[in-house]
Amino acid sequence: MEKTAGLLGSDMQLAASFYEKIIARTEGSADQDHIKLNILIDTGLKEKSAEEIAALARQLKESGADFVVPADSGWLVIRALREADVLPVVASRTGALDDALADRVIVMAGGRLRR
Amino acid sequence: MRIGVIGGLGPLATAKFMEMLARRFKEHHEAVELAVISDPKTPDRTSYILDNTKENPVESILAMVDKLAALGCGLLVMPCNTASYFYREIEARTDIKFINIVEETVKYLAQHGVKKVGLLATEGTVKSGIYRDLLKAAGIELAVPDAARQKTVSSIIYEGIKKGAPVELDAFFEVVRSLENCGCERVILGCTELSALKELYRLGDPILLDAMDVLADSTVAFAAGA
Repeated sequence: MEKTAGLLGSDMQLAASFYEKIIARTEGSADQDHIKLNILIDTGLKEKSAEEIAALARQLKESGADFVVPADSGWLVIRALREADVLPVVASRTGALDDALADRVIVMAGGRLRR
Repeated sequence: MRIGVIGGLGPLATAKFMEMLARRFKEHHEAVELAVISDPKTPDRTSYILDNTKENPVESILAMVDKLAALGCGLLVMPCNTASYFYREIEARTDIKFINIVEETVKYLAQHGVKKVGLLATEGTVKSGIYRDLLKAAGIELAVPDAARQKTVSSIIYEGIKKGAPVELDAFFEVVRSLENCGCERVILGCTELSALKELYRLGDPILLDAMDVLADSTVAFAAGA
């Protein structure tokens, strides 16, 4: 079942690197095999209030995202996203944007993992 | 101002474009906002341009435009040359300023007094004439690879980058040199997957003009001036 992943972060480079990781770990022979992804970057994210973060989560949801991955966001942002309860939050235990997280995102969005 | 990126065309080009923006905004003092709607399910652009009985990608592209408009973006950019074939539909859909990668690249060449240029792009981009028409209006001569070399370029794009498979750089540079040998002062990387190739393999050949680099520069310039 095809879903759209959401990414919310403050660092464009980190988000881009994680996106590349997702692409590299997705099985596909064409563009159309890759997952749908909506990204919101605000370099001032860490200074935002819980309400502002909730509003960003709602924007991501309205844009079609089915879940949100906090990219490089730090614990306060992750907590604000969880408490806002607007979208399921998908994060690793350490908050790192690692291979296991990329694989979870791919599978949740309906993509296949490269062997 | 939130910058809106119409993405997924292809996904790796989108990620590399984000990196280009990241590098340019690194020293920025004000907050930068970016929205990316990446829908790689968008039907292949070249397939449709070469055969209009195939699925039309325009609806998917316009849906991305709508989402970026709803996100309040003040600027729209699309790191895909072939999809620029649909620039009129995109501009008709929204009042938001749309920066056209093909237009920006031709402007750059004209500003730098280039008289003859080569083009590495998809068959769709080449056949649709989007570069050819703008270059002609600017008085710049265009050279494209012969049929066999165009097959090589298409293969690098579709069997290489879009598949995540390794690319034969020798074959790539053979095409570049062939264009240089017929008098091209610059060779346009007119497919954002070739821009991704350049980023991946850190290709620094000065003859190459990366349309996606030009787009990134225009994006920052417009965002700064806004």
